[in-house]
Amino acid sequence: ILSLILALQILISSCCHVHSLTHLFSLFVCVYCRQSLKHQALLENQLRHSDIITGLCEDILFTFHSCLQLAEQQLQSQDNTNHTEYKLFQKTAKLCRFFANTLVRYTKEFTAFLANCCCRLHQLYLQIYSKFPPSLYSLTVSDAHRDEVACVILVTLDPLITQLLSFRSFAEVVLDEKTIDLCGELVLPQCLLLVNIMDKLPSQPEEVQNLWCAGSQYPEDRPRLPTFHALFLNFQQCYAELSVPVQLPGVMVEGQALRDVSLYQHVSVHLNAFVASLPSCHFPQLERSLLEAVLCPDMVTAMLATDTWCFLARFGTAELCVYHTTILAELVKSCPGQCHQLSHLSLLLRRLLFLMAEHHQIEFVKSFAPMEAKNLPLWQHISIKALTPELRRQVASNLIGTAVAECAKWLDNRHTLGELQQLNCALSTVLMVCSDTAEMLEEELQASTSRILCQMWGLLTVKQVLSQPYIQTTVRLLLSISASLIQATDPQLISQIILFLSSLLPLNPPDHVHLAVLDYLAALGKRFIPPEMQGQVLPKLSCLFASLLADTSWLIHQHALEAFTQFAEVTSHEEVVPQSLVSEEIQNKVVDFLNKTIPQIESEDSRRERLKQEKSVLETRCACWWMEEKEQTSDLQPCVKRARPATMKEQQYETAIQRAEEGIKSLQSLLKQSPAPSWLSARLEGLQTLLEAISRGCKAAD
Amino acid sequence: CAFFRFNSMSGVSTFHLSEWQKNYFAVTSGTCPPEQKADSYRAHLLGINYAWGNSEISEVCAANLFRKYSEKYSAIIDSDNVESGLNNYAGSALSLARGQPNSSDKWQSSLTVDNVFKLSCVQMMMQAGEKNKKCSLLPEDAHLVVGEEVCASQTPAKLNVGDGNLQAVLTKCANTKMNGTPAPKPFQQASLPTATKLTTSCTSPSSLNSAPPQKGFQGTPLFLNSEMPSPNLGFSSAASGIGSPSVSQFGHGQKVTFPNHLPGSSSCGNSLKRKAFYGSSDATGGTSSSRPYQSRSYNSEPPCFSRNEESSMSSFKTAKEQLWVDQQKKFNNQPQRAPATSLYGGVKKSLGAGRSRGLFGKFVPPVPRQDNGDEYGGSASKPHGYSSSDADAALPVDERLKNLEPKMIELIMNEIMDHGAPVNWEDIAGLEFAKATIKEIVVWPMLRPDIFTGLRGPPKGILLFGPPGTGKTLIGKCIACQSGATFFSISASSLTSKWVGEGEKMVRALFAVARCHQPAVIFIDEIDSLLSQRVDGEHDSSRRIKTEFLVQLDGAATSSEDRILVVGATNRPQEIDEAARRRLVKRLYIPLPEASARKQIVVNLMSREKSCLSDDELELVIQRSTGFSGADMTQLCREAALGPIRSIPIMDISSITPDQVRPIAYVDFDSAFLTVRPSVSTKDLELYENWNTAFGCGR
Repeated sequence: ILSLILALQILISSCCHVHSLTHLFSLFVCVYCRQSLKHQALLENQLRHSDIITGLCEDILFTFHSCLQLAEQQLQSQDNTNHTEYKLFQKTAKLCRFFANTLVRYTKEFTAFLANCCCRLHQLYLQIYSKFPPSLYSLTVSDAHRDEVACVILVTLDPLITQLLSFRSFAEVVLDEKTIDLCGELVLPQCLLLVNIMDKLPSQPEEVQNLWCAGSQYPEDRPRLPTFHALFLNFQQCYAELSVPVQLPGVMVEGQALRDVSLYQHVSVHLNAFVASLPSCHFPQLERSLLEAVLCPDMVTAMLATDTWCFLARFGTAELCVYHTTILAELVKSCPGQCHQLSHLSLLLRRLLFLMAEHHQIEFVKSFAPMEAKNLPLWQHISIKALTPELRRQVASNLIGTAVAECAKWLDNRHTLGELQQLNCALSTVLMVCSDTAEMLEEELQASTSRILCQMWGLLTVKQVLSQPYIQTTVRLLLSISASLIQATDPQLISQIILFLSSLLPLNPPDHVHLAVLDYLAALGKRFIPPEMQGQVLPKLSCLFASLLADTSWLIHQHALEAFTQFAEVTSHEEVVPQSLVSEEIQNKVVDFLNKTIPQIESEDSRRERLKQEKSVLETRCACWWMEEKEQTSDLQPCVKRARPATMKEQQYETAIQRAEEGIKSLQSLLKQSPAPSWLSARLEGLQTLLEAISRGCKAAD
Repeated sequence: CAFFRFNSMSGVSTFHLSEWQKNYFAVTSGTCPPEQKADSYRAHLLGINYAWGNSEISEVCAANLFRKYSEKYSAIIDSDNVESGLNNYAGSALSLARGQPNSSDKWQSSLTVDNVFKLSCVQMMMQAGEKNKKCSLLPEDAHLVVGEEVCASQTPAKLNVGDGNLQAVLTKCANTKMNGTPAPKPFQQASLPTATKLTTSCTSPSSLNSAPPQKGFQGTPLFLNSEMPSPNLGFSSAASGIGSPSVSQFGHGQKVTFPNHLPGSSSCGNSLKRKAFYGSSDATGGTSSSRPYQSRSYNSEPPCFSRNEESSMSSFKTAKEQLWVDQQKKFNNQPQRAPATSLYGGVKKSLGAGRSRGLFGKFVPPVPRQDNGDEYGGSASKPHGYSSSDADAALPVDERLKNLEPKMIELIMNEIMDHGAPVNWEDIAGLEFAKATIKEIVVWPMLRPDIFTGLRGPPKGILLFGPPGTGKTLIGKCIACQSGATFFSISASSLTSKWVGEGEKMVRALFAVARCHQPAVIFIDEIDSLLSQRVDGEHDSSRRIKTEFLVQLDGAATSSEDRILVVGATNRPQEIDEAARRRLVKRLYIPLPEASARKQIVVNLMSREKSCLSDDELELVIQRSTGFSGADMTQLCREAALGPIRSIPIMDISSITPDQVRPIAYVDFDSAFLTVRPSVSTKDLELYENWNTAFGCGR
């Protein structure tokens, strides 16, 4: 038998060099597999597995590519009746399937010996998916061809993954932190692979689930992320695929036809399904990964994590939901300033509040009492819409009361800039309450709010607004509050605000002020301006609109269009509308917008190219951001990850003490062999005192 | 407009704009399904994210836009409204997770207030916040008075004032804390982290009594700002200061609340419970928590949702009232011949508009009132407002319904029990054989259960099959009306649900409720979709529903005394599972109407209109309409009835009086025949005939 193996091996190695012999080679492998079934123990160690696997993978890829190329040619030639070409395609497809089956068989027999080849197999999976629709890097082929190829190869790859699922090295390769930084075309395949694995995991035994969900637990393990964490990291890189968005087959739900869904929905659904069947021992990992993802700079990934969290909140117990909410509330409350993490986190908090049981909401309100000013930083992020009507009314009046008192205090004092953050926080709370329940607000509260508004507007100066970020925020908040209380505002104040804005806007304040101005102007449509002020206000109004509509930033331009149409639809001062459209270009744009004509439609190909470029822009930016954050963190705190260094320290202790013990033991044996030198006793005494000092230190530490 | 400027946007921006607008138009179109809406909002977020990443907009701006659009987005995702919400994709997700163990009730959060602050991502957030705070306010600007220009020379003097009074202020803070009186709010808020740290160092009891002058107090925050402790320290003290009291609180809360959660609740029970917080037709727990969310997020909700608790409570109560009233009915041996529909219709009026107290005034409860508390396992999550209406809630509930979820019962009551106008046998044209058979096997046994016993006992199921539009549904309704039975009309879709396990439960609940309302007729339209042949590889849950249905129909759980009749109607009889076919004992072919029946239809319909159709013309119409189904005939008459209207000139239509419209003439039928064609093909008819000869019970 041994000689047979040798012969086969020689044959295989020669096949590897001569490409035309690949078919033969594969056949041999097949024979080989069967042979080895009988004499497995003997053969296993003697095979050069990695060569065989590499060869097979190359064959598969080659045939797969030629398959797709043939399909593409057929699509281009528009000649579906060409039988010879189609036959060629089918032949190649068959060959491809044959190779793939061989590979699956082979890995099934020799899984244990393939530790080195996992990387190659993983690459194979990714490469195949990256060239296959709906990847953005695939060739364009007809649906029929696509389905045929999918039947041939994707179907066979699936059991491969199932086989490898329980294999530790494979998990290590897939979940390696370095693997996450894939080049552009492999990002989507990796995402799909992770989703696929998540689908399979719930039916796997516990150890396999542990392998994929727990992450690396011991320092000697090859570092491995928990699957959800890997998914979130990977998802951040899917900007282009999400923007297109890439379409994937949805889930069959009763009574509904199978449809294609966007990548986001695909991932979200499968992630939710995975969460739904998650055993409780992996829950802490999931929780942490979710929190981390919520705090990441990428909005859509944060959104995915938030969506999943909400699903989890509904699927889990009500107590879990309230527990999470309270922790998040603490986090939000103690965050010192505005940052993207805070806005993501507060969104999650808002949403979870909706999912809380009623009595839990009452408890929540009790523990973060709205009448205490120190809780305002939290309440400004919460939407009281989530509360029951009764509770809402009470909380709203409490909040407004507290916030107005804060403002009054600030106004009564010397209103310094240093205290402005607290004021902004109070104003932001007022805004939240007003925008959620403006029409339900009691008269008295509305009146006190309006009074504060009047006073605040009087204090602002254009110069300070331009130089101080906090005052910019104040302006933004004041504008938005005035917008939601537009019906209750004094006409005099309206004219004052418009006057202020028309002197502020030309000086180019930051963009968020622009947006707030737009909010205000849009709301102004609902208000009738008294005739004696019309002469003053209306020309300025149209001027403001004109300048905002002409804004160079597309986001502001778009919001200006929206605000303008909103204003024009309801206003009773129609004369403002034509006066705002000062140039033909703006007029055309507005008309286009009203007619729902999209200005410029780019071709699908160029759009894809642009998205790919944009993705690289975002990636550089993100990398910079991480670097900055890392530096900052490391300035203040030497080690970001504490868990591992702690064990590292212990290891160091271990090695040090071992060395000391060894040294002393060797000293002892030396003493037995030969007489001690004279200086030894003195040195030993020194050692003794040192030891005592150390043990004292140890006890003290205990 | 002196400041008018216009620079055209760069090419890439135009593309972004177009894409944004495309999504915007999609969202505002009004015909956009929620999934697409969600995709569009996501695209908005991607656009904002890119604009931020590419430094086109500031972080604050990005945050504001993010808040704006994520709010809209999450309102869609989190809502379980079928038209406007996505229900967290739970339908798809749970159908994927079907069959997997669910341990969600054992999930325990590992996060605590303490350890969460130690996570690196959280620390990064705190630092980012601190950094932004620092960036937005330079220390030397802290003294600036908003609203006036302050010259720099004032700065040192103020600093001194602040410095001098700091100790006094801090000790005052400590003092007030000891006394338990609230310290001045803004001060406490601003200095909480620092104060706790610093009070240890300033211990001059003599200054306890010195009230801090107003100015010094103002200066304090300024001082604090310029002397801000390193963020890490200040932060950690804040964390411990705030965290420790609340931790104990959590611990307490957990202890109290966790035992309340039923440990043995199954997966669907669990998911149902959480769903209840969303559902618009809620039963016990969390009624009002769901409603505000829906009604506010979606203005399309009917106004009754935005009303106070009472309306939703009463909708829940009405279901129980229903049961109660029904029991009353039985108890008092009230004649059951009264058409059930009218009774239900009467009660239905009270839905959503306050509870109908009149019912309670009339009746004395026949059975001792049970305490509501032990009726439902889920009473732990009973909202507070509930107790106020305890008297109403303590309605007796049939004990056969005890194990069912009240929500389901209510659903069945509201959705399935049919309330329509009563139908008479005379309303059905033709079909004499079918009518006779049904009278014999259904109506009489229901009316005289004492005679129809033993072998004469009524069948459990009837299958009405035949081409569409021949009156199968009408017959079903008529059975209910004429037999005085409670009529449940369901469609397959109301039994199937996207939440796992709910389908079978619905079936069980349906039969349980029906058993409480005997005699009952359960009418299932398009029964083929529910009881199609069981095949391999079919959907797991639909199979379970089927099995449950068959068991309920005639299985171990059913007794022979039950007077429940299942009437199925289908136009695809060949697709029905053979086990179901066996249980639907009487299979009646409802054929196309014969000439006499067609004549009856036309005469009947025309009698309500003005017509000048002679007998000959009528015969002609009947002749020409061979092969028409009942529905086709109705359509024909409708079309003909429009004829006179069409002949009115457009200009006169607003001024003409009803009397001036000319009667319907044969010409109108003539033209109606041009547009109305028979909807059933002869080939289909053959199929029915064949099936009828194979399995039917007809002639």
